[in-house]
This record gives sequence, C-alpha cells and structure tokens, in this order.
Amino acid sequence: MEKLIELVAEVLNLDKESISLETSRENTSAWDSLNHIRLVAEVEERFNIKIPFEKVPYIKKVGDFLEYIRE
Amino acid sequence: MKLSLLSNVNLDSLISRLSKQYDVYKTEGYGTWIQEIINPDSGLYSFGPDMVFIVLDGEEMLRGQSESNEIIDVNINYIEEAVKNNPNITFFVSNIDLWTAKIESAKSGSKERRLEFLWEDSLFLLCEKYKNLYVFDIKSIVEDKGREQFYSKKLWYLGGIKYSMKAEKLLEQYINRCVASFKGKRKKCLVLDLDNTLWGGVVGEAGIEGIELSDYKEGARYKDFQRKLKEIKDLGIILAVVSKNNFDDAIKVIREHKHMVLKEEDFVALKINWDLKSQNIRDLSEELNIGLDSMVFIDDNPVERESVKRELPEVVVPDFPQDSSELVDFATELYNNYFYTLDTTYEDTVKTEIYRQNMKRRDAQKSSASYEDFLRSLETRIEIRRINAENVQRAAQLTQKTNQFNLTTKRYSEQELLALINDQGFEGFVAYVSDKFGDNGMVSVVITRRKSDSEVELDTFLLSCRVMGRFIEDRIIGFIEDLYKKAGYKKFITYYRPTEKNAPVKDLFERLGYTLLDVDPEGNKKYVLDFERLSECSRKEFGELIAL
Repeated sequence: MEKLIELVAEVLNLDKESISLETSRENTSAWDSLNHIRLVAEVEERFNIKIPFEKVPYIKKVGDFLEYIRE
Repeated sequence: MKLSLLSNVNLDSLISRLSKQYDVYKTEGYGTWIQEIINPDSGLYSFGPDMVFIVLDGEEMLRGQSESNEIIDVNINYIEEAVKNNPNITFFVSNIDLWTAKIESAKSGSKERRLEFLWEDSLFLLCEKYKNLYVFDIKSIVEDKGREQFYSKKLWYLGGIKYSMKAEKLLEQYINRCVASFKGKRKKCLVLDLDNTLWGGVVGEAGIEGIELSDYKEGARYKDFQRKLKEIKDLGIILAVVSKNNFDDAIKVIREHKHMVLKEEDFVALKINWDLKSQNIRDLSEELNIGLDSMVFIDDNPVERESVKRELPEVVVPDFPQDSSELVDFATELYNNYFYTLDTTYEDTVKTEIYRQNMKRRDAQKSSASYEDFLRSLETRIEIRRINAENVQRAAQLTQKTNQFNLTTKRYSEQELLALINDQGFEGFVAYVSDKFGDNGMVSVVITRRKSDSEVELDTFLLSCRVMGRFIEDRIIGFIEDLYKKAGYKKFITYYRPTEKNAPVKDLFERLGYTLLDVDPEGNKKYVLDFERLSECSRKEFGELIAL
C-alpha cells in the first residue's frame, strides 16, 4: 500500500502525505484524464498486474487499485 | 535549460515527466512538429529552446502512404532546413522503428527494414553535415528492451500514447544524458582497482598464471570488461589504477599478461602500493590537477569503497556488480551515467598521453635547480589563433569545463561562440601550447568586446588546469594588450567573478599590475589597465610566442 501511495504521489506530482486510499479523481485536480491513464499504466507495470481495458473508467479513487493488486 | 520535445504521437506524459526538471515547451496537440520547426514565427522558436528533441514514430509517419521513400525524403528536407536555419539550437532527431511488418511473400523481403535504414542513413548524412544535429537513437532502446516492453497497446487505445511507462523512463534517462553531456558535465577520470576488478583472483596469491583473464569462459568476463573500459578511454576519459598490491606482482601482469587489453600506456598513473586508497586518490587528484568531484572510483571490495566514500565524499563510488558476468553491462552503465559523450575532439583522443607527459614534467621539475630553470628548460611554444569554425568545438568545450583558471566562468556552446565572434564588437582567440615533452593542444580561450573606440573589455579568459603555474597567462594577456594598444585603444577593462572553484585567479590582475576599480559585496571585481602604463607592468616571459 505504501508503494501504491508513493506511485500515485509521483505520477500526480503531489506530496505523499496528501494522498490516501480515499484520494479520488473527483477531489484531485491533478488527476486529469492523461494522469488517469498514466496511473493505470504505472500500476500495471510496477505491480505486474493487468487492469482490463473495460474496467479502466471505473477506477475512481486510489483504493480502487487495491482490488487488482491483491488479486 | 530550455528544451522542447516534438513528436508525431502523443508525448504529453513524457513531457510532464521532463517538466519536473526542465523548462519544457508545450505544443498544442501533436503532429504539428513540421510546422513548429519550419515556421520561424512558431511557438517553438518564440519559446527559444536550447535543445529540441524530435521523437518520431515510424508507423505514424508512413501510415497510409504509398510512396514511403518520398515521405522520408520530404521529412528529411524539413529537418535539414530547420537545423540549417537555427544554428543556435541543438537538435536530436530519432531514428524510426517499424514494427507492423506487412504480410508478404518471402521473396519480397522486409520493406520495413529498408525504410528504417533509409531514414537512418539520410539522418546520419545530415548529422555529418551539421554540428547542431544528433541522432536520437530510440531504435537501440526498442531493441534492448524488446517491443513487448517498449510499446503499450492499452495506452495507445486509451489515450493515443504509444510508449509504456517503462519506455518513457528510459527515454527520460536518455534525454537526461544528452542534456548533461551538452552542458559538459561528464566526469574526467576513472580510477580502477586491479584484483577482482580488471582480472579475476588475487595476483599476490594466484600468481600471473593463476588469475582469470582470457578470451573464453570465466576469464572473458574481465577481458570483455577491459575492452569496454578501453572504449571509454578512447572517448577522452583518463584511466588510473589504485590498487593494494606488491608493485612488482601487479605490473608484471599489466606488462606481460597476453590478455590484458589495457596496457601500461593506457593508464595515466599506476598507484600500486599499500597506502590508503583515499590517500592515493587524493594524490592523483593533485598530480593531475583534476578535482575529486571529476573522479569515479571502481573497486570490487565494499570495505575499500566505503572507506573512499567516507574520506572523499566528492568522489563518485558506484556499487560493483554482485554478479561478475554483468561487468560489461556495468561498464556501459558507467559510461551512460558519468561519461556520456555527444562528440569527441582531437584533444579527447590524446588526453591520456597529454596527462602522462604532465607527470613527466612534474618529475623534471623535481630535478631542476629552481622553478624558473625548470620553466626555461621546457622550451614552451605558445601559438595564438582566432576562433574559427575548425577550432570552435574545442573552444566551447574549454568554456564548459574549465573551472579553476577562469576569470568570468561564462559557459558557451559551439553555436553561441560562433554567433558571438560573428557579432561586430566581439573577438575570440585560442592558444595552443606545446613543449619538449609533447603537445598540450588548445589550452586557452580569450574573448574580448570593444566597448567604444577607446575601450575594450575582457569577456572571457581561461586557461586549462593542465598548464597552470607556467606563466602562460602572462604571454597570452601580453599579446592581447599589445594587439589593442597597437590598434589605438586606450583602456582595457577586465573582470573577476568568484565561483566555488576559481580562487586561484582571484588576484591575477593585481599581479599583472591592473588597477582595481570596484569590488561588490559578492566579490566581483572590475579592473582597468591604461595602455599608456603598459610598460610599467611586468610580464613573465617563458617560451616562444607565435601569434595569429
């Protein structure tokens, strides 16, 4: 989880402390459509997992990634 | 550093990465790279980048085009025009990777390969023609990583982004290397251990026959590593040995082992003794007159590395690979991280020899009765020429790298220097120094600016640390003074701007008899010399001067 938070902070170029599992697209202006795609790609590559193409739009907050990482 | 990244595919993600470090130009959308580089009033040129990277996707460039060869010619012509019309900007243009091979009969061969080559070849010809153009070798990254890793289908379909995040990171590192090398930030000296570094095993125990160094199998790890180090050396990096060993044991291997790729003369110095390595490295730094922060130390022994790190924090000490079959990759990594070179000058290719001569001069000095006797015995020859297209590359390199004897520490690129000397008012000179021990090549750059009909000022005055302490500056500045005095000027204005490293020339102009006009709180000094008073100033004259 620590790794996920760090990754999100890095991609969004924000402080690690300001990120939690509840950080969402809605409440974070840096999380725009480009960064959304980058987040998905980074999570896939670093955790060596797949997030199906169809599920990408349903990721709304940081916590949503955990479902795929834990699987 | 202002840079710009242009492409025919979406590189926003990479641009966003690079923006954390540099001032990066953002284009509206993508695919407008041709307009951007051709139109002199484009956003690109009003942004005023130092470096422009053009990363092209071959698939996109040739998509749906029946006459691929023609498209390639047209794009190459656009690039040539941009490069030719903007000599102050350094361009990096990528080669192309065509991965969707068309299904065809075996006989028709792979058209994609031929197109890739056509692009590469045309681009390479342009690079030979223009100094401000380099190939951005994206193809090698694709090949090293594999297309599977380099491209991302998901990102392509989601957002029109071709490259995976991994690929982006590699491109970012590559761009960082180009920028660092462009700024002249490479290290100068690679200091190497011997046992288990240049060969396998300990020569003091195993003997010359017992160490691992050969063409095949185990010993080839070290021979291949040495070959790579030799390639680095040939780019103008100097190699030195610092090893705890009996001198006779180790030198026997270097001189006699038939698989030693690196010969005695490839090393600028061999410190083979039982002293502390940190002390040996410090001595080396003094003898070569190279800063500790320009040195990289390689040793397989973690205790030695730790000790050097602690004693000499300025020296770069990379971790040694745990697995010695990775030594060749390690050498490549060293090159990429510390010695990446865009281009070499003649001086680079003979650098080790120049430093070796310097060591001999030091020995001659020790045996001379007085320092002045020693300087006279050197038979120094100083040749001054104007900066021109042939010598500007080395001149720019000197302005980038010279730290100690550098009065104003202004850094210039080749393009900036050429522009400067074509400007009315500026004049640029370089000096070459040789002596009975050998040729030092170009060691000094002087740039002046005429302020008025009676006043001329010094923009740049630097001297390579290799020839410091020989009063060569007296001859050079004497020449400049005479030149302008004869041309009817009355006053010569000079400056000293303090940096962390140029304290050695803090009082140069005081010694040369200039009058201090002003010192500000930062220590910036301004001087004047009235040419009428020139005869009262003393100049040390060692060696023969040949001017223009």
